[in-house]
Amino acid sequence: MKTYSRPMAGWWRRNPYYLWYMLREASCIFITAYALVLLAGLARLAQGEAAFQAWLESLSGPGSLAFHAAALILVLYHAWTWFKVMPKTLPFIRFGGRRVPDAAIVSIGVASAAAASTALFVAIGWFGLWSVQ
Amino acid sequence: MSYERVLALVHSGFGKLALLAVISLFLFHGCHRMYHCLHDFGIHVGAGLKALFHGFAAAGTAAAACLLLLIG
Repeated sequence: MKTYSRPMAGWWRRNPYYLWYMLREASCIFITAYALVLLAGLARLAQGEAAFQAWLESLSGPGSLAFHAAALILVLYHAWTWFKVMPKTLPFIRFGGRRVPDAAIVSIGVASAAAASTALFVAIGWFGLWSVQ
Repeated sequence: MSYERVLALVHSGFGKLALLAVISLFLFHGCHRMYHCLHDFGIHVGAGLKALFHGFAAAGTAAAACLLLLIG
């Protein structure tokens, strides 16, 4: 038996809200591609200096810059939307007998993400990149 | 981002952990959401596709771990 399924082609183009949703979802392609670029860099690093330099040079073109800029913007937008819905997805949190306001949940979430990213960035600099003169 | 500096980063335990975390978590996050995007486009996904997407992320994680150990 074949059950009826409602046609759903192009649903996300009918409403600007859905278009923003799909744009946000498109970030998954950029995030996966970015991870693969890093993985390729690791493979080139293992092959030696010449291979690593070639990988670095391959990332200096305008296409690569555009990709990385788009990936950064999309991942920031994704992070923002993620924390924006957090008050709706979390059970009510009480602190000192009062419900924690939505705005506090969003700002704590955004601040934690910013702090974690900055900490990783600084730590990578300290432990590795600037350890060799 | 010179060769020596990136090599020093990968030689450190912290650098290994940070790179593995970034590559692995981004891969799993991206592949997991691509799998869910198929649903949004009306493609009915089964266990096979789920295994394919998550397996790809797992393979990438294993490759990164092997490379990090290989570089030493």
